[in-house]
Amino acid sequence: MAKARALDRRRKSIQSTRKITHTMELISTATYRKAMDRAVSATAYTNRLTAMVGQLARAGLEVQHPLLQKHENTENVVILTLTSNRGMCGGFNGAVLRLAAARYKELTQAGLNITVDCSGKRGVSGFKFRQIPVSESYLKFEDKPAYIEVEKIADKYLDLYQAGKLDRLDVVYTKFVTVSKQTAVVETLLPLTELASGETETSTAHDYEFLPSAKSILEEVVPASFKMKLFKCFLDSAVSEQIARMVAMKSATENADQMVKTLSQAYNRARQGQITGELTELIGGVEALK
Amino acid sequence: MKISVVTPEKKVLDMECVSCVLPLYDGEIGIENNRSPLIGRVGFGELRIKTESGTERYYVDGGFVEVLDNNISIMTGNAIPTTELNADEAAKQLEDALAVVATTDDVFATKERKVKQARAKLRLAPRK
Repeated sequence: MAKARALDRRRKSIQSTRKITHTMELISTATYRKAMDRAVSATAYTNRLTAMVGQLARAGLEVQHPLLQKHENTENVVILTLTSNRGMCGGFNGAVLRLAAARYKELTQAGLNITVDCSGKRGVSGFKFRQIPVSESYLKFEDKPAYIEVEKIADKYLDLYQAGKLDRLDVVYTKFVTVSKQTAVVETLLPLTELASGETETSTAHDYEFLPSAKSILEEVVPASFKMKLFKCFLDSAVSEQIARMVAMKSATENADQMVKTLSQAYNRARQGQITGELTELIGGVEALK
Repeated sequence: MKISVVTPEKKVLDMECVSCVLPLYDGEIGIENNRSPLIGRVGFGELRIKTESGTERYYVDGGFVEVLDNNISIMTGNAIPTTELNADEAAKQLEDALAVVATTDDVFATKERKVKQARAKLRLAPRK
């Protein structure tokens, strides 16, 4: 009976694991929807901002700002890596970390002074394993990154950049492309490369009144646009994490189902075998007594 | 006339209005129907929207405003209905901000912004 019982025990344990993975799948589906809504509403803000920069450019203003200018020598680089606080999300963290580590190696070989900042516990432990020192870690970002929190981080980088202590900011995160496609990417956010993402609207230029002046507005728009970009990275990462977890948990549930099926078959066969065995023994005994 | 308020986190409102008053960097501006196109810097203070059914009040936290073809769009860091503001919190923020000793221009700018924010919030918060 020993073998059959062991099989049964394994089956039960897998069934309870399946319950967990299935629940996690459902939870991440719900959180994904919410995160997605937030990402969509952020797009409304970005679009407006981009449209406004377009209008400013059309007003004949040359777009110039310290944040848009590349420093002469690139020495100090910050790599900000966005990972998740929790695991069980397939290759989500691995992909980002691999990319970040590769970038780190590449820049170290180029002899630059690199600081690694990281959001998410998984990233922190991942860097520890790879023996890359993390100077600043942010652990409070869950599935709903708050703008106020991101703004603080953004302000820090803006100050450093303007003070000349930072020459480039690379953000490694998972970009949300479509629901079925998210890729880990490295994006250089500082110096800002483009403000109006190359849109060429043919709408007539309106004669805007600028209060106080186009220049002053531009000075405000550039940092706002940087903050928004960074916030978008956090939102993308949050959405991608949920999708990754959803997919990982779905396949885990399917695998559990498959295993329960095979184990049930094996268990039934073992049980049948045992009964047959016992019967033969009985018949054998009766025969011997005759 | 249409008005929409967006923050990086969400679309706060999108509705029809008769007129509105909003804080600019140096004082308030009133916008009525058929105003000429405008792009401006928004200050910290009260946004009053007059609709058919009454007036709605929000606290807005800097940002930009664009007026075009009877569409007012406000992009701000935060927009809170004035009834949800907390006077005690604002008073604390003001106290904290005033306690900072500004030694550099950056710190001074931050301090000034926080003081302005807190004063505006304090002014608008419902009285007990």
